[in-house]
Amino acid sequence: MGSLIINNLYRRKVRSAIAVAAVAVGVAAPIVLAGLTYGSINEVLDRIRNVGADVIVSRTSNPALLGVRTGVIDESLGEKLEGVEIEYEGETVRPVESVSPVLVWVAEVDGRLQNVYGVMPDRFPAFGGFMADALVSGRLMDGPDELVVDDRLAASAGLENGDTVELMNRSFTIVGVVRAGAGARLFVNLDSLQELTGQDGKVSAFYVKCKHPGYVSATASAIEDEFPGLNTITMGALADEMAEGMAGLDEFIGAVTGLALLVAGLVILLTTYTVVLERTREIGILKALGASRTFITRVILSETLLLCTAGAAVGLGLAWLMKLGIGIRYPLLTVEMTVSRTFGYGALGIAVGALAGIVPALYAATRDPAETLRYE
Amino acid sequence: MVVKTALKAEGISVVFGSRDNPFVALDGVDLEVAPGEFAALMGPSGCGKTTLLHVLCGILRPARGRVWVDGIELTALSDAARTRLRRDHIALIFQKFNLLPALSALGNVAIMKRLGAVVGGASPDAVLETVGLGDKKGNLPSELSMGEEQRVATARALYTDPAVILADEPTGSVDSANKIHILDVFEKCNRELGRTILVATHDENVAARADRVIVMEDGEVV
Repeated sequence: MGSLIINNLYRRKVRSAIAVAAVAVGVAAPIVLAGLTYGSINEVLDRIRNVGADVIVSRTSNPALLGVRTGVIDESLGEKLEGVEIEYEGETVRPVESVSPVLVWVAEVDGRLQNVYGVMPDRFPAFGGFMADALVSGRLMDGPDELVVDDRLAASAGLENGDTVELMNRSFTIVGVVRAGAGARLFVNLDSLQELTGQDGKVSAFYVKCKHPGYVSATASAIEDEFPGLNTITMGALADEMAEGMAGLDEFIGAVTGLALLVAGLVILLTTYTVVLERTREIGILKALGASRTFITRVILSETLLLCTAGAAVGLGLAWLMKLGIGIRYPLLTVEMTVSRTFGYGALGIAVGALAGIVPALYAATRDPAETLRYE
Repeated sequence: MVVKTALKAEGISVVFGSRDNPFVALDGVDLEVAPGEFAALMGPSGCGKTTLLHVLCGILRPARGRVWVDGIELTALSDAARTRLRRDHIALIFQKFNLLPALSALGNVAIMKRLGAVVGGASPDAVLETVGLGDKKGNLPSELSMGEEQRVATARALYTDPAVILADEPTGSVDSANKIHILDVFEKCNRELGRTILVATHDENVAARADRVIVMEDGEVV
């Protein structure tokens, strides 16, 4: 039966190729779409997490929106935050270990808008934590016109230490390249950014680090109680909020995936149905020779399955190539391809295609051989 | 003593077309072919020979009448059982050969085993040797002459172990050399292996090789 199936597919090379391509696109499209969506969201989440703070204090409830420059806070508030007190296990404690003020602004670099973090290098938690050993080259900024970039932006824009970059009509010299993954892709001294943007004494948010994991939730509440108008969010709550946001995205991606697979399934249905019509005579011969309905169904379904499996394999390869292409063309975009999601979509593509082949296969199995052979 | 017939048809009627415009293809045909007999079914085109063969092998269900093959009443069987009976007891040879275009000559013979048919002792290669196509086993039907295609179709029929061979104009599309070869194979099957053969034909030479000639006209055996 194997040679019958393979030879039949080989004899209709163009049609087989179209069916394989349809499944491939149906599989690759959702993999890349989901990869881009989750990749971008998780990257934002990771960057906020990797700053290394326990609580973010700002005027917005969504720290992912900090780049939009929503509201500013007096920098002097930082000292007051350090003095916040909470009740913990019957004792009054000062839970805050450090407060890092951050001013977030947006500047155009290499033709794209990028968030710029104005920070105090000695207080920004990531520089002592996530990025402690992540200085790829150079050093952290020290002077007013010095800039640190992350390695992805550096690679994308072809920047290196010693280069000058225009930010808001002022030249900054790159003094260091850090590993990407915390906060923004561009870092300058807080006072430089404040001066440049006319935001003297103002910041966008405070990254608060607590002395003990048990203090985090109470600290966030205490800050909101003590400083009306400020919002706090803990890293745990942030992860929950992002996960909640992703649930909505799951529906969107599910809809797009369903649409892509529906089109692929319809192409398979049409291809298989046309093949069955074209092969009415062959099917009639097989039945006249004594082929059972099961045999005919198996032949047609096996052909469909083979097409879909080939399509899914090509789709996985196509998705990988698209990821590679996106990485080259848009180096700052992240396409997250997890094994489970990738192979899940592959399996879904095979299942949908096989399902689409069932109706034509059953139709073929019930064809009357007499009708076929009567007109020979 | 009951003598079992290899093929028996009783009052077979087949009507094509619509109720308003019916075409009677077979009209109360009675027929018997004894085990080991080589019979030729002759008659002008359109007289119902092919339709009768299709009824006898069970791919066409008659409007009226009954058919027995090797003692089994074919017309009383379900669709699946008729398919099994055809596979295991009847070998079909068609005028247009009806080879599967995707398979080689060898594949077209060997497919019978894949279909679950009971095959004889000879291998597909050996059967192809018998019909003189040992050197063309790997050729696709499109790479064979019409005569060679018909010989592959004959080999396919011989590969199984049928009680009855039904052939529809097996020499209608082949040259005289192939015709002689095919008829020699039929005769050998009949004389040496005892196979029952019913051949629908226009060809007097084919009829001359048969033990008996059955003549049809306008859907009736005359």
